[in-house]
Amino acid sequence: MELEKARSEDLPQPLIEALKSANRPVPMITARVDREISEMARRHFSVRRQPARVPRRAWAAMAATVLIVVFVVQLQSPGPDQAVLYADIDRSGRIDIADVLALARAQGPGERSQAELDAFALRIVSLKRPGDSS
Amino acid sequence: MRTVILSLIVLCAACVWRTGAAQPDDGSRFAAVDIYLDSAEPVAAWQFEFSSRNGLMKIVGVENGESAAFEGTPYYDREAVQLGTADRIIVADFSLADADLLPSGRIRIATLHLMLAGANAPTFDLHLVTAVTRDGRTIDASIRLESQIERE
Repeated sequence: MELEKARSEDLPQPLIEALKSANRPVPMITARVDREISEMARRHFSVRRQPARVPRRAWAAMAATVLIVVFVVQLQSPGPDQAVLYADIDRSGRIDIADVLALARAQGPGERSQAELDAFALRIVSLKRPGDSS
Repeated sequence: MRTVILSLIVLCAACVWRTGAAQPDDGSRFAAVDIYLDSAEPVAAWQFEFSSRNGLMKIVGVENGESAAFEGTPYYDREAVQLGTADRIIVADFSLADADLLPSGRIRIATLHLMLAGANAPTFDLHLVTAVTRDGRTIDASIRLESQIERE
């Protein structure tokens, strides 16, 4: 105790004064002040915009839309088999309806569906040139 | 509610009828061109290209021929025909019918419906791309056309 008192007396006088001034009692907060602060806080937070809440149905609708778009894109894009369908099947040196006939008459693994044969034939008669996007 | 639906149906029918009945007033005329293939052997697939030399023509329709082995409408660029932009056309078809059902001799393989512009007589180019037998062998066939003016 004596040692502690001796240490405190070693502190510089301005610091001792500053510590004493900071050690004042906490001012009393009355009920009125408390109400006013509460009211101010309520007003402040009432003007803040509430975060937009998307209803669950809207999420479901958006998810369904995305699924439909993906499905349609999948339908329209040619599959890997269709991409190689336009070919000189009979090795005549050109691609024409005889190639579609040869493909249609092929049996076994090379057998194609009517839709694939139609797509092949329609590509043969198309007036669009390769690379023509119009 | 029934009255409203009935009215809409009548309105749609009237619109369709008006569209179908519309005729060009710019001096255009229509012609039908029959395409004939002459082949000594039964034909299982054929393809031809048709165009106009003087460019005063649009193909507005394609009709199938007379053979039962090629009963469906042949393949052609439907989008170009429907848009009225087809000044030439490639038409083709194939059949998987048995050899004894495939046609030979003089066969009408298609009829083209044309819209002709101007008073000049149209001149056409007709080219047989290929005609093959059931086993894919090329036939030494010939192709020609016969035209009929439908409306002056």
